[in-house]
Amino acid sequence: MNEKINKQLNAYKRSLENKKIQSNAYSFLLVFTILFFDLFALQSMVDITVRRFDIHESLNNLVDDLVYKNDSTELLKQKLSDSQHYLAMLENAVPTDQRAEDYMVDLVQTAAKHGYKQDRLSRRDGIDNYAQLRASFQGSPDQMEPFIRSAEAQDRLSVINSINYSVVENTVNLELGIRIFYLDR
Amino acid sequence: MLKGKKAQKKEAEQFQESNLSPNLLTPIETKSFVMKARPKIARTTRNLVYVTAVVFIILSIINLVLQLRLNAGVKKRDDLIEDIRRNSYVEEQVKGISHATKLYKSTKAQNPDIAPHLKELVEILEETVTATNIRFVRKNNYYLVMATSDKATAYATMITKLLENEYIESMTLDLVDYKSQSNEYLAEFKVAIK
Repeated sequence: MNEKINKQLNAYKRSLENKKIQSNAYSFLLVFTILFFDLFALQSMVDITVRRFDIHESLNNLVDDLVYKNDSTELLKQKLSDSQHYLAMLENAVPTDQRAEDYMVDLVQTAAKHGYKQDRLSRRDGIDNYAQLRASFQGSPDQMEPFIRSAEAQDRLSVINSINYSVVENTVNLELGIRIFYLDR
Repeated sequence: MLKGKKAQKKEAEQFQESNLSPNLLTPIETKSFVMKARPKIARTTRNLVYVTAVVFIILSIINLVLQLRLNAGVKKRDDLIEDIRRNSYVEEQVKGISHATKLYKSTKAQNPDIAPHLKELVEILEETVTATNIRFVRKNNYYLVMATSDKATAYATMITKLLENEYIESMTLDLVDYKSQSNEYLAEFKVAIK
Protein backbone atom coordinates (compact mmCIF):
# COMPACT_ATOMS: atom_id res chain seq x y z
CA MET A 1 0.00 0.00 0.00
CA ASN A 2 2.85 2.42 0.94
CA GLU A 3 4.69 1.49 -2.18
CA LYS A 4 1.63 2.31 -4.21
CA ILE A 5 1.25 5.66 -2.48
CA ASN A 6 4.94 6.41 -3.06
CA LYS A 7 4.49 5.61 -6.70
CA GLN A 8 1.57 7.89 -6.93
CA LEU A 9 3.45 10.63 -5.09
CA ASN A 10 6.40 10.29 -7.47
CA ALA A 11 4.04 10.43 -10.40
CA TYR A 12 2.46 13.53 -8.95
CA LYS A 13 5.88 15.13 -8.38
CA ARG A 14 6.85 14.42 -11.98
CA SER A 15 3.58 15.87 -13.08
CA LEU A 16 4.30 19.02 -11.04
CA GLU A 17 7.79 19.27 -12.58
CA ASN A 18 6.30 18.96 -16.03
CA LYS A 19 3.73 21.62 -15.22
CA LYS A 20 6.46 23.92 -13.94
CA ILE A 21 8.39 23.53 -17.19
CA GLN A 22 5.22 24.07 -19.15
CA SER A 23 4.41 27.08 -17.03
CA ASN A 24 7.86 28.58 -17.68
CA ALA A 25 7.48 27.93 -21.36
CA TYR A 26 4.05 29.48 -21.46
CA SER A 27 5.25 32.48 -19.42
CA PHE A 28 8.15 32.99 -21.77
CA LEU A 29 5.84 32.64 -24.77
CA LEU A 30 3.40 35.10 -23.25
CA VAL A 31 6.04 37.67 -22.42
CA PHE A 32 7.57 37.25 -25.84
CA THR A 33 4.18 37.67 -27.51
CA ILE A 34 3.42 40.80 -25.50
CA LEU A 35 6.81 42.34 -26.25
CA PHE A 36 6.47 41.40 -29.89
CA PHE A 37 3.01 42.98 -29.95
CA ASP A 38 4.35 46.09 -28.19
CA LEU A 39 7.24 46.37 -30.59
CA PHE A 40 5.41 45.90 -33.86
CA ALA A 41 1.66 46.12 -33.46
CA LEU A 42 1.62 49.06 -31.07
CA GLN A 43 4.41 50.77 -32.98
CA SER A 44 2.42 50.38 -36.21
CA MET A 45 -0.67 51.63 -34.50
CA VAL A 46 1.15 54.67 -33.14
CA ASP A 47 2.49 55.35 -36.65
CA ILE A 48 -0.97 55.00 -38.14
CA THR A 49 -2.43 57.30 -35.49
CA VAL A 50 0.25 59.93 -36.10
CA ARG A 51 -0.25 59.68 -39.87
CA ARG A 52 -3.99 59.90 -39.46
CA PHE A 53 -3.56 62.94 -37.24
CA ASP A 54 -1.40 64.60 -39.91
CA ILE A 55 -3.99 63.78 -42.57
CA HIS A 56 -6.65 65.21 -40.29
CA GLU A 57 -4.65 68.45 -39.92
CA SER A 58 -4.10 68.69 -43.68
CA LEU A 59 -7.77 67.99 -44.33
CA ASN A 60 -8.76 70.69 -41.84
CA ASN A 61 -6.50 73.20 -43.59
CA LEU A 62 -7.90 72.17 -46.97
CA VAL A 63 -11.46 72.49 -45.72
CA ASP A 64 -10.65 75.95 -44.29
CA ASP A 65 -9.23 77.03 -47.66
CA LEU A 66 -12.24 75.61 -49.48
CA VAL A 67 -14.63 77.38 -47.09
CA TYR A 68 -12.79 80.65 -47.73
CA LYS A 69 -12.91 80.08 -51.49
CA ASN A 70 -16.56 79.11 -51.38
CA ASP A 71 -17.45 82.18 -49.30
CA SER A 72 -15.52 84.41 -51.69
CA THR A 73 -17.27 82.83 -54.67
CA GLU A 74 -20.67 83.32 -53.05
CA LEU A 75 -19.80 86.97 -52.36
CA LEU A 76 -18.67 87.43 -55.96
CA LYS A 77 -21.83 85.76 -57.19
CA GLN A 78 -23.91 88.17 -55.14
CA LYS A 79 -21.93 91.18 -56.40
CA LEU A 80 -22.22 89.98 -59.99
CA SER A 81 -25.97 89.65 -59.73
CA ASP A 82 -26.10 93.17 -58.23
CA SER A 83 -24.11 94.67 -61.10
CA GLN A 84 -25.72 93.10 -64.15
CA HIS A 85 -26.41 96.55 -65.62
CA TYR A 86 -22.72 97.52 -65.54
CA LEU A 87 -21.70 94.10 -66.83
CA ALA A 88 -23.90 94.62 -69.88
CA MET A 89 -22.19 97.98 -70.45
CA LEU A 90 -18.77 96.37 -70.09
CA GLU A 91 -19.79 93.63 -72.53
CA ASN A 92 -20.75 96.34 -75.02
CA ALA A 93 -17.45 98.14 -74.51
CA VAL A 94 -15.22 95.06 -74.63
CA PRO A 95 -17.11 92.15 -76.20
CA THR A 96 -15.86 88.60 -76.21
CA ASP A 97 -15.77 88.50 -80.01
CA GLN A 98 -14.93 91.07 -82.69
CA ARG A 99 -18.43 92.33 -83.53
CA ALA A 100 -16.79 94.59 -86.10
CA GLU A 101 -20.00 94.85 -88.11
CA ASP A 102 -21.85 96.31 -85.12
CA TYR A 103 -19.12 98.90 -84.66
CA MET A 104 -19.13 99.76 -88.39
CA VAL A 105 -22.89 100.33 -88.30
CA ASP A 106 -22.54 102.57 -85.24
CA LEU A 107 -19.68 104.51 -86.87
CA VAL A 108 -21.61 105.10 -90.10
CA GLN A 109 -24.63 106.24 -88.09
CA THR A 110 -22.44 108.63 -86.07
CA ALA A 111 -20.93 109.96 -89.31
CA ALA A 112 -24.39 110.48 -90.76
CA LYS A 113 -25.41 112.51 -87.69
CA HIS A 114 -22.58 114.93 -88.48
CA GLY A 115 -23.36 115.05 -92.21
CA TYR A 116 -20.57 112.73 -93.22
CA LYS A 117 -21.14 110.20 -95.92
CA GLN A 118 -19.36 106.89 -95.90
CA ASP A 119 -17.06 106.36 -98.83
CA ARG A 120 -15.04 103.19 -98.14
CA LEU A 121 -14.96 100.79 -95.23
CA SER A 122 -12.60 97.84 -94.84
CA ARG A 123 -11.58 95.53 -92.02
CA ARG A 124 -8.37 93.69 -91.26
CA ASP A 125 -7.73 91.42 -88.28
CA GLY A 126 -5.00 92.63 -85.96
CA ILE A 127 -2.29 90.38 -84.60
CA ASP A 128 -3.53 90.82 -81.05
CA ASN A 129 -6.96 91.25 -79.54
CA TYR A 130 -8.11 93.93 -81.93
CA ALA A 131 -9.38 94.39 -85.48
CA GLN A 132 -8.28 97.23 -87.71
CA LEU A 133 -10.74 99.29 -89.70
CA ARG A 134 -10.07 101.80 -92.42
CA ALA A 135 -12.94 104.11 -93.15
CA SER A 136 -13.28 107.03 -95.55
CA PHE A 137 -15.90 109.72 -95.25
CA GLN A 138 -16.86 112.87 -97.04
CA GLY A 139 -18.41 115.84 -95.34
CA SER A 140 -18.06 119.48 -94.35
CA PRO A 141 -14.91 120.86 -92.63
CA ASP A 142 -16.75 122.39 -89.67
CA GLN A 143 -18.21 119.01 -88.60
CA MET A 144 -14.92 117.13 -88.77
CA GLU A 145 -13.85 117.69 -85.18
CA PRO A 146 -17.33 116.95 -83.67
CA PHE A 147 -17.47 113.76 -85.73
CA ILE A 148 -14.06 112.63 -84.45
CA ARG A 149 -15.18 113.43 -80.88
CA SER A 150 -18.37 111.40 -81.31
CA ALA A 151 -16.44 108.51 -82.88
CA GLU A 152 -14.09 108.42 -79.90
CA ALA A 153 -16.98 108.66 -77.43
CA GLN A 154 -18.66 105.49 -78.67
CA ASP A 155 -19.42 102.77 -76.12
CA ARG A 156 -17.16 100.28 -77.85
CA LEU A 157 -13.49 100.36 -76.80
CA SER A 158 -11.80 101.78 -79.88
CA VAL A 159 -8.79 103.91 -80.73
CA ILE A 160 -8.44 106.23 -83.69
CA ASN A 161 -4.95 105.41 -84.79
CA SER A 162 -4.56 107.68 -87.77
CA ILE A 163 -6.32 110.57 -89.46
CA ASN A 164 -5.88 111.80 -92.96
CA TYR A 165 -7.83 114.96 -93.59
CA SER A 166 -7.81 116.75 -96.90
CA VAL A 167 -10.00 119.49 -98.30
CA VAL A 168 -10.92 119.70 -101.96
CA GLU A 169 -13.35 122.45 -102.94
CA ASN A 170 -14.76 122.80 -99.46
CA THR A 171 -15.40 119.07 -99.21
CA VAL A 172 -13.49 117.13 -96.63
CA ASN A 173 -12.12 113.70 -97.40
CA LEU A 174 -11.53 112.10 -94.07
CA GLU A 175 -9.77 108.76 -93.75
CA LEU A 176 -9.65 107.15 -90.35
CA GLY A 177 -7.59 104.20 -89.17
CA ILE A 178 -9.37 102.64 -86.19
CA ARG A 179 -8.61 99.77 -83.87
CA ILE A 180 -11.51 98.05 -82.15
CA PHE A 181 -10.70 95.83 -79.20
CA TYR A 182 -12.27 92.64 -77.91
CA LEU A 183 -11.44 89.97 -75.37
CA ASP A 184 -9.35 87.29 -76.99
CA ARG A 185 -10.05 84.11 -74.96
CA MET B 1 -20.93 -10.60 -1.51
CA LEU B 2 -17.74 -11.14 -3.56
CA LYS B 3 -18.86 -8.49 -5.96
CA GLY B 4 -19.57 -6.20 -3.04
CA LYS B 5 -16.02 -6.60 -1.74
CA LYS B 6 -14.54 -5.95 -5.17
CA ALA B 7 -16.69 -2.92 -5.58
CA GLN B 8 -15.67 -1.65 -2.15
CA LYS B 9 -11.99 -2.16 -3.01
CA LYS B 10 -12.36 -0.34 -6.29
CA GLU B 11 -14.15 2.47 -4.55
CA ALA B 12 -11.39 2.72 -1.94
CA GLU B 13 -8.73 2.86 -4.67
CA GLN B 14 -10.60 5.54 -6.54
CA PHE B 15 -10.93 7.51 -3.31
CA GLN B 16 -7.20 7.20 -2.69
CA GLU B 17 -6.39 8.16 -6.26
CA SER B 18 -8.64 11.15 -6.11
CA ASN B 19 -6.97 12.26 -2.90
CA LEU B 20 -3.48 11.74 -4.27
CA SER B 21 -4.06 12.84 -7.86
CA PRO B 22 -2.77 16.18 -9.27
CA ASN B 23 -6.27 17.44 -8.67
CA LEU B 24 -5.35 17.72 -5.05
CA LEU B 25 -4.94 21.43 -5.82
CA THR B 26 -8.17 23.32 -5.89
CA PRO B 27 -9.09 25.12 -9.15
CA ILE B 28 -8.18 28.50 -7.61
CA GLU B 29 -4.81 27.19 -6.56
CA THR B 30 -4.26 25.78 -10.05
CA LYS B 31 -4.98 29.22 -11.58
CA SER B 32 -2.54 30.94 -9.28
CA PHE B 33 0.04 28.26 -9.87
CA VAL B 34 2.19 30.53 -12.00
CA MET B 35 1.87 33.29 -9.43
CA LYS B 36 3.26 30.96 -6.84
CA ALA B 37 5.90 29.43 -9.08
CA ARG B 38 7.23 32.66 -10.70
CA PRO B 39 5.55 35.57 -8.92
CA LYS B 40 7.89 38.28 -10.33
CA ILE B 41 7.55 37.20 -13.94
CA ALA B 42 3.84 36.74 -13.51
CA ARG B 43 3.41 40.20 -11.99
CA THR B 44 5.55 41.81 -14.66
CA THR B 45 3.67 39.95 -17.37
CA ARG B 46 0.35 40.96 -15.91
CA ASN B 47 1.41 44.62 -15.68
CA LEU B 48 2.72 44.47 -19.22
CA VAL B 49 -0.58 43.05 -20.40
CA TYR B 50 -2.47 45.80 -18.58
CA VAL B 51 -0.26 48.55 -19.94
CA THR B 52 -0.41 47.12 -23.45
CA ALA B 53 -4.16 46.73 -23.27
CA VAL B 54 -4.62 50.29 -21.95
CA VAL B 55 -2.31 51.75 -24.61
CA PHE B 56 -4.04 49.70 -27.27
CA ILE B 57 -7.48 50.81 -26.11
CA ILE B 58 -6.41 54.46 -25.93
CA LEU B 59 -4.89 54.27 -29.40
CA SER B 60 -7.99 52.53 -30.72
CA ILE B 61 -10.24 55.24 -29.27
CA ILE B 62 -8.02 58.00 -30.71
CA ASN B 63 -8.02 56.22 -34.07
CA LEU B 64 -11.76 55.82 -33.99
CA VAL B 65 -12.30 59.49 -33.15
CA LEU B 66 -9.81 60.55 -35.84
CA GLN B 67 -11.49 58.28 -38.37
CA LEU B 68 -14.89 59.75 -37.57
CA ARG B 69 -13.50 63.27 -37.89
CA LEU B 70 -11.76 62.34 -41.13
CA ASN B 71 -14.99 60.95 -42.55
CA ALA B 72 -16.81 64.14 -41.58
CA GLY B 73 -13.99 66.25 -43.05
CA VAL B 74 -13.99 64.31 -46.32
CA LYS B 75 -17.74 64.72 -46.63
CA LYS B 76 -17.47 68.45 -45.95
CA ARG B 77 -14.62 68.73 -48.48
CA ASP B 78 -16.65 66.92 -51.14
CA ASP B 79 -19.67 69.15 -50.49
CA LEU B 80 -17.51 72.29 -50.73
CA ILE B 81 -15.84 71.09 -53.94
CA GLU B 82 -19.26 70.41 -55.42
CA ASP B 83 -20.45 73.91 -54.43
CA ILE B 84 -17.31 75.52 -55.86
CA ARG B 85 -17.63 73.49 -59.07
CA ARG B 86 -21.25 74.56 -59.38
CA ASN B 87 -20.15 78.21 -59.05
CA SER B 88 -17.09 77.87 -61.29
CA TYR B 89 -18.75 80.07 -63.93
CA VAL B 90 -18.53 82.98 -61.44
CA GLU B 91 -14.75 82.71 -61.39
CA GLU B 92 -14.62 82.62 -65.20
CA GLN B 93 -16.94 85.60 -65.42
CA VAL B 94 -14.88 87.58 -62.89
CA LYS B 95 -11.68 86.75 -64.79
CA GLY B 96 -13.32 88.01 -67.97
CA ILE B 97 -14.42 91.21 -66.23
CA SER B 98 -10.95 91.71 -64.80
CA HIS B 99 -9.35 91.25 -68.25
CA ALA B 100 -11.87 93.54 -69.88
CA THR B 101 -11.40 96.25 -67.25
CA LYS B 102 -7.61 96.03 -67.46
CA LEU B 103 -7.73 96.14 -71.25
CA TYR B 104 -10.07 99.13 -71.19
CA LYS B 105 -7.98 101.07 -68.68
CA SER B 106 -4.62 100.32 -70.28
CA THR B 107 -5.90 101.06 -73.80
CA LYS B 108 -7.42 104.36 -72.73
CA ALA B 109 -4.31 105.29 -70.74
CA GLN B 110 -1.92 104.49 -73.60
CA ASN B 111 -4.12 106.02 -76.30
CA PRO B 112 -5.65 109.26 -75.09
CA ASP B 113 -8.40 110.80 -77.22
CA ILE B 114 -7.39 112.81 -80.26
CA ALA B 115 -10.44 115.07 -80.24
CA PRO B 116 -9.23 117.62 -77.61
CA HIS B 117 -5.97 118.54 -79.35
CA LEU B 118 -7.47 118.16 -82.81
CA LYS B 119 -10.11 120.69 -81.83
CA GLU B 120 -7.46 123.16 -80.62
CA LEU B 121 -5.36 122.66 -83.76
CA VAL B 122 -8.31 123.05 -86.14
CA GLU B 123 -9.45 126.23 -84.35
CA ILE B 124 -6.02 127.83 -84.63
CA LEU B 125 -5.68 126.80 -88.27
CA GLU B 126 -9.15 128.13 -89.12
CA GLU B 127 -8.34 131.47 -87.47
CA THR B 128 -5.07 131.99 -89.29
CA VAL B 129 -4.56 129.90 -92.45
CA THR B 130 -6.41 127.47 -94.71
CA ALA B 131 -5.53 123.85 -93.96
CA THR B 132 -5.54 121.66 -97.05
CA ASN B 133 -4.26 118.48 -95.51
CA ILE B 134 -3.88 117.23 -91.94
CA ARG B 135 -2.32 113.89 -91.15
CA PHE B 136 -1.97 112.31 -87.79
CA VAL B 137 -0.41 108.97 -86.93
CA ARG B 138 -0.67 108.07 -83.27
CA LYS B 139 2.69 106.35 -82.91
CA ASN B 140 4.46 109.48 -84.30
CA ASN B 141 2.41 111.72 -82.00
CA TYR B 142 2.53 114.72 -84.30
CA TYR B 143 0.32 116.31 -86.93
CA LEU B 144 1.67 116.89 -90.40
CA VAL B 145 -0.17 119.90 -91.76
CA MET B 146 -0.23 121.46 -95.22
CA ALA B 147 -1.75 124.91 -95.35
CA THR B 148 -2.06 127.92 -97.63
CA SER B 149 -2.38 131.60 -96.87
CA ASP B 150 -2.14 134.78 -98.86
CA LYS B 151 -0.29 136.50 -96.03
CA ALA B 152 3.06 135.41 -94.67
CA THR B 153 2.25 137.06 -91.36
CA ALA B 154 -0.63 134.62 -90.91
CA TYR B 155 1.96 131.91 -90.37
CA ALA B 156 3.67 133.96 -87.73
CA THR B 157 0.36 134.40 -85.91
CA MET B 158 -0.37 130.70 -86.31
CA ILE B 159 3.03 129.70 -84.89
CA THR B 160 2.59 132.01 -81.91
CA LYS B 161 -0.86 130.61 -81.15
CA LEU B 162 0.27 127.02 -81.60
CA LEU B 163 3.18 127.41 -79.22
CA GLU B 164 0.95 129.09 -76.62
CA ASN B 165 -1.45 126.12 -76.67
CA GLU B 166 -1.38 123.70 -73.72
CA TYR B 167 -1.62 120.55 -75.88
CA ILE B 168 1.21 121.41 -78.22
CA GLU B 169 4.76 120.47 -77.41
CA SER B 170 6.59 121.97 -80.38
CA MET B 171 6.23 123.01 -83.94
CA THR B 172 8.59 122.47 -86.89
CA LEU B 173 8.22 124.41 -90.07
CA ASP B 174 9.40 122.08 -92.85
CA LEU B 175 8.62 124.09 -95.94
CA VAL B 176 7.24 127.47 -96.97
CA ASP B 177 6.77 128.11 -100.65
CA TYR B 178 5.47 131.21 -102.33
CA LYS B 179 3.33 130.65 -105.44
CA SER B 180 3.34 133.80 -107.45
CA GLN B 181 0.61 132.57 -109.80
CA SER B 182 -1.96 132.31 -107.07
CA ASN B 183 -0.22 134.82 -104.80
CA GLU B 184 -0.27 132.56 -101.81
CA TYR B 185 2.15 130.94 -99.41
CA LEU B 186 2.12 127.20 -99.21
CA ALA B 187 3.50 125.77 -95.95
CA GLU B 188 4.18 122.30 -94.58
CA PHE B 189 4.85 121.86 -90.87
CA LYS B 190 4.78 119.38 -88.02
CA VAL B 191 2.96 120.02 -84.79
CA ALA B 192 4.12 117.72 -81.97
CA ILE B 193 1.63 116.88 -79.25
CA LYS B 194 2.49 116.64 -75.55
